[in-house]
Amino acid sequence: MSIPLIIVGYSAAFLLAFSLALILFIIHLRVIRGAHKHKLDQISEDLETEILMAMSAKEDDKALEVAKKYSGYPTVLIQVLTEYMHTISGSERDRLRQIYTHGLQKRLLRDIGSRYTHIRLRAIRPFVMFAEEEDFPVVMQLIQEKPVIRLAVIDGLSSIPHPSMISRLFKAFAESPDTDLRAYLNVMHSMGRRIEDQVGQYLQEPLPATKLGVLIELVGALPLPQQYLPVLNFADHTDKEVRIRVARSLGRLNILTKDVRDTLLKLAGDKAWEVQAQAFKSIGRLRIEAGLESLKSGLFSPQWHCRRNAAIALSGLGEKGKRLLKRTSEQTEDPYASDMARMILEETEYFQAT
Amino acid sequence: METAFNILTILILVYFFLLNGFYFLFLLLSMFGIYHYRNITAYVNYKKLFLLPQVKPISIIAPAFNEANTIIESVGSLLSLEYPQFEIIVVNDGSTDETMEKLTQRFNLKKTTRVFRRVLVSRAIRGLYSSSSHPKLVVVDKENGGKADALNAGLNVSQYPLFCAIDSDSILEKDSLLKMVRPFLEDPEKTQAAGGVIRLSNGCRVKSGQVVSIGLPRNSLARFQIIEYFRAFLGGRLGLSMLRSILIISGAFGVFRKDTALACGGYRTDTIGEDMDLVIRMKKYLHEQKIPYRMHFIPDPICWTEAPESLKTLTRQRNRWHRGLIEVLLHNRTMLMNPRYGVTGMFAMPFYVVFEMLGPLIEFTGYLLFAVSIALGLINTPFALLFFTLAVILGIMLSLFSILIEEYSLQKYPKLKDVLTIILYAILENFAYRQYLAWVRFKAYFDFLQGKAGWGEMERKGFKKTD
Repeated sequence: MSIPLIIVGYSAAFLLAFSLALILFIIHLRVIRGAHKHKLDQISEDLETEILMAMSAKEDDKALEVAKKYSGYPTVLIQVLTEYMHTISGSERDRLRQIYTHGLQKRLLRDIGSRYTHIRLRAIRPFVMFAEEEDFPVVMQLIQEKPVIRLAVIDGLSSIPHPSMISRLFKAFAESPDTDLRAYLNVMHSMGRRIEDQVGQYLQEPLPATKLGVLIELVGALPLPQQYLPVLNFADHTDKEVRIRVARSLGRLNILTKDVRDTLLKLAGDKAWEVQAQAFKSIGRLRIEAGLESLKSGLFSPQWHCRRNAAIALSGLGEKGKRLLKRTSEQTEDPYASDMARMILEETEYFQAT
Repeated sequence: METAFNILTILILVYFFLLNGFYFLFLLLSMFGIYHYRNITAYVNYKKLFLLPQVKPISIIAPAFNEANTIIESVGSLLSLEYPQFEIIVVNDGSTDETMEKLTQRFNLKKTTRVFRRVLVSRAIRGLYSSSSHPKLVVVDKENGGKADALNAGLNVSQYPLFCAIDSDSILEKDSLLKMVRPFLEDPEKTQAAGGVIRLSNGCRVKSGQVVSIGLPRNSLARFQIIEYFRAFLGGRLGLSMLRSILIISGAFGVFRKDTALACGGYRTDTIGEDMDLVIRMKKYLHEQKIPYRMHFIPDPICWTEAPESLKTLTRQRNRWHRGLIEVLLHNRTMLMNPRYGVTGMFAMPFYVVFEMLGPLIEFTGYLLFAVSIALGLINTPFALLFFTLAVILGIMLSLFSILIEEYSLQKYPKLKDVLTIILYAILENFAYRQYLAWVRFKAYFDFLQGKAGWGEMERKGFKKTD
């Protein structure tokens, strides 16, 4: 036999053996994973029962016993504890906290420092959820990390954040570089209306326009109605992005006072078309009839977004708005305005009819 | 003569080992990528993503040409997607069957005057329709101009900053858009496009626009294609994406930034490989503008589509794919080995040209050389046969690895019996099926040179519904 033949022969034999091993491995993987999943489901069921018993017991011993018994199954323990934290409220959460402290805390702190992202991710959500004062520096550090870690922090924070966590978060926000703002917006948004006081407080601080923009955006997005007055103060801000957010947030807040109306009408005549477009939208949302003239001029704007928002706003202003739209659709001087007016009219009539 | 013959043989052997080497590299990278992706996303709560203020709205554009058999299920699937804000633009590209009638009847369509900016040139639009029962749905009825033309019309009508191009005969899983948009959320400045996994719906059961039970098709051709799709999506594309060399985001399911796509002139209508062409031109544009970017392949969001079950349709499809590949690579040849285009110019383009475009040519020359050398006694027959066996085993191994990745990551087929059947077909495909497809792709060169440009019809059986 020649050497090439031997090489090829051995290679073929080796690859064949390897392929057979792969087939066996695939089958083995399926069987093993099935059995493993079944086992974890069983443990999870048992754990749920024991947690319920621990919560109804008067002594702390039962909770400690559960923590000790299941600390060897961190994945199951994390899953069940986080689910219960979402569904249970009041003092019974203290029992869950006890189980967490004795069964998981040390391990999670160690896991958060791991070099493997998936181990860290598994630990972050429960860690943030159960975080006490002394854990805050770690949480703040995690917020500065890569997006996937931030997302896990958001997930944890949106559940039941410790009250003083919120003030820490805002302090970090005020000191952070602009590059992290998107992350802060997401984190703060996930905490919901609990952040209203802090938003109000920081709107009084001398923050850069980018950060003010985030706070004003939050006022409209959550929404935080008590903050509409501070937001009004920024309608004259030199930065266009801040004015855009003021116009947007005022519309979303759904509060119609004279101040709000006057501010929106002023913003509808802003020099930046982006601000105008947002103001038109908000005028329509709040159904400000005094905005009819501004909206009419918006219909003839060279900017598509302005025309569209103005037309939609007019369609929401009842008969007066519709008449104006109809007149605009019939004029021939500005075909763009007439096209837009016709489209919105048709859409409105169509959806009303159906 | 004999020396030339020997040199050619050696070259083909080198090519063979290089090709398989690359495929193994991609598979290894894919395995690593899947492991990483699975671990990371296991703890991501997609419902929370849904609530974030930064989630951008998406326009889903689905061009349809004679899709009467599947269009209702497909649009139903799109309407049931879980995503905060999206619109569905179905572009009826001058269908000659009942596509438009079925849409009108099922979704109560009524003609509307929607104002849009005609940024891209497309064939005349006959009418825009909206649905009273489904406000998210817009149907564009236009003259026939091909898939790219329909996509351009859809892009003109679309309103949102991201668009998702899908085939109208496809079914998206409910959370697929949320999964797909994750990189756009995590890295909004750099992320330009993302592609997902395409799976074959043959053999699956569909209810209310969703795949409710997954099974294997009875048709052998469809079974062979399941393995091909495993290799292509779970092996090749993920590996290439990790090397930042992905050139194809399937036209059946991909999300793109609209501003960049428009800046590139949208889809090119004089090609049949419009999906690949858009990705390459986007990359070209981004390199030329010196804009840092990322294009991702995400192994999780799944789009189900129907595979051809007749040899005639499969032949047409593969011929078209290969002609598209040749045309697109030749059209963008200025990027080839051009350091200005980074990894795309120096690795991705040469790889596609040498191993994907020229692959069938070299494979066929190899078969021919082997036959000739055995006939002329230039090569030892046992060696030739053993080498062929080695090549087959290598092919099987590649397929087994992709099945392993599927088992580890998605494990979509619930029964062990199905997995064993797929393994059996991974072995069987090396005898005749692969050689036949190599022949089809080889023939595509001649069709391309003759200027054949048609798409060829795709026979749709429609999704199998639950009782």
